[in-house]
Amino acid sequence: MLLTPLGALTQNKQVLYSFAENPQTLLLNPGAETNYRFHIGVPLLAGFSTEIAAKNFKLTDLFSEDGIDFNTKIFHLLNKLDAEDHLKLNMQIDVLNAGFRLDDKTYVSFGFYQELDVIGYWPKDVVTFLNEGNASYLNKSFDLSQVVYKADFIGTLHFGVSRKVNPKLTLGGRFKIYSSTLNFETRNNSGTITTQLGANNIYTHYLNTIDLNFLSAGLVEDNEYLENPMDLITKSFLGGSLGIGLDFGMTYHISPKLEFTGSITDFGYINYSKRVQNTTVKGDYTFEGVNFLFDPSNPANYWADLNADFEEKVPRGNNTNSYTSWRPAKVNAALKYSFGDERRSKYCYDNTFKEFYTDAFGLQIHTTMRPLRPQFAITGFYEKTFTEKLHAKVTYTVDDYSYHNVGVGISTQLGSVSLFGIADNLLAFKNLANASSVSFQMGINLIFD
Amino acid sequence: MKHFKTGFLFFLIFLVACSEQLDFNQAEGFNHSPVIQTSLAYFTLFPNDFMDSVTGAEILNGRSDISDFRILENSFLRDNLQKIVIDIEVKNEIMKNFTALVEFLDDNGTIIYTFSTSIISSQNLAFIHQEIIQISSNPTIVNATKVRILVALSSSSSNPLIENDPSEFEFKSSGTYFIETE
Repeated sequence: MLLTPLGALTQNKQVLYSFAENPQTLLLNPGAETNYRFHIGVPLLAGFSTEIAAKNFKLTDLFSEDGIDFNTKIFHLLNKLDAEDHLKLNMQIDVLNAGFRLDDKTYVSFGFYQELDVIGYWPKDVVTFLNEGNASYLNKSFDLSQVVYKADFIGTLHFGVSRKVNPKLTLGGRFKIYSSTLNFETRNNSGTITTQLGANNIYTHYLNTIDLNFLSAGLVEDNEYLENPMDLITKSFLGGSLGIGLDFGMTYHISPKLEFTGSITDFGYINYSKRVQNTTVKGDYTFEGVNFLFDPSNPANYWADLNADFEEKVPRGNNTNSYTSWRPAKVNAALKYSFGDERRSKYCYDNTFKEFYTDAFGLQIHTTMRPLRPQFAITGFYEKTFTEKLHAKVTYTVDDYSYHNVGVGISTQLGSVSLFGIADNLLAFKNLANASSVSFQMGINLIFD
Repeated sequence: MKHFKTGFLFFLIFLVACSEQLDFNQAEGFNHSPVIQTSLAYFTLFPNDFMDSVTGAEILNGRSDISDFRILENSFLRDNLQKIVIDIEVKNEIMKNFTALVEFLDDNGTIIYTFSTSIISSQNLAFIHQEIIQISSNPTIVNATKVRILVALSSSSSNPLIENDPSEFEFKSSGTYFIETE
């Protein structure tokens, strides 16, 4: 069984994080403070988020109507991209989200969400080899370890508790059961392909330390593809490959105006065991060409011998072995300083009051474990409370995709109906085609004080 | 009302999102043209290889060997190959002139392309020959599944072969495949 961390993907929901005590913030920090008796999300609308991002690539790089020859643009793009650049897509939908206050100090929340994650890193050497061949790259070792991708469709059933330990500290935890109905991934590959001037022949080709693993679960069984794609959705409720995960989080009031929050989410793994079909290639090979022996009394079948020798030394195999992949753990932390008018809001679940300030600013960091290296983002934010029922948050984020990512979110409550809408990378809105990333989040929940 | 305006302002930002006109049809102009270089056949022959082991007479029709050559069975290559360049390098230490004949054959053994080198002079330690095969002029070459190489003594050579002479006839070759897709 393979057990390897592969940080996949997730959104950095920097606007939503710790925003307006929205129920959805509990999924980002189970130790977030809440201020209501119970909540229930509108099914399928409690929380919806989507993000598409490409590091170092924009649609305009290729498809602008700029009169530049398309092949020239491809050439420039291929030179610009490197093996850490990637394309990712993330969609998450809350099918069910609810919570209730168990007692004055304890809030319980639970639910089920589905998530589609796709990420593919740019295998620069492989693309160069396929696009240009090896003729111009004598002595270059084309690195196969750059082939890294992962696609996952997961249903997550979760149950969390947040508890106010004392007036300053709230701790929380969440237990998750993952059910993946579709997974493709390849990682921890190794190997190089090199062509050099040879001794016995003009060239010698080397395949060195080839070790490739292409893993899949959910799509193929007994060489037959999944017949009903709807199974991917319906079986995501505990019917797929299962895994478990934990979230931890906290809120700590350093002073009445200064608050620290932090969380680790998706610390867990999935054991892919359903409809597994893996392909492996492993070995070393040196090829100098066909050595003619000119022996008519013992004619050789050079080609067949070559094939047999290659398959012996670089065997390819299929297997249905289960494999384990770590979920992408995420770390969030934020320091928030509140100021402005001091107001009081009623804690309706026990008829006490909570003091709050109309303005706040602070700093957040977000880290996601990824296959090649952790991915960092740092966010400065300003939060404004207009009334008890209307909040806004503006963020400025520096991450892999942009140095000037401005996000904005609004959360409002109309009666018991709480709505929020968030958009990221606003500066790109004037020309979405020229954006490296775009993300949206929205949700509708019923909140009862 | 003031807060309504503020909220409205934020939502307006979402609504004004736009995108410049893109032309995805440009992708139809993508031209993909890799050049793949591989080793082909190589061998070393000695004077004894050209002498009858019983009589010691020179083998006038030369020595030949044949191998399957299945590279061109690849459908992508067959469909997009523009040109093949065969490079041959010979180090001839033997005191004889030679010629080399290369034949590409199909599955039925029919010769579909052939070329021969110029005379490889004795003591020529750096003989090279380049054969350029344009697919448009030789479309049947993609049906080649075998390659035969014949090395023969050249009639222009008068020096006799010397038995057990360690001098070598060293032959190397490579193929360069020019592919172009649109």
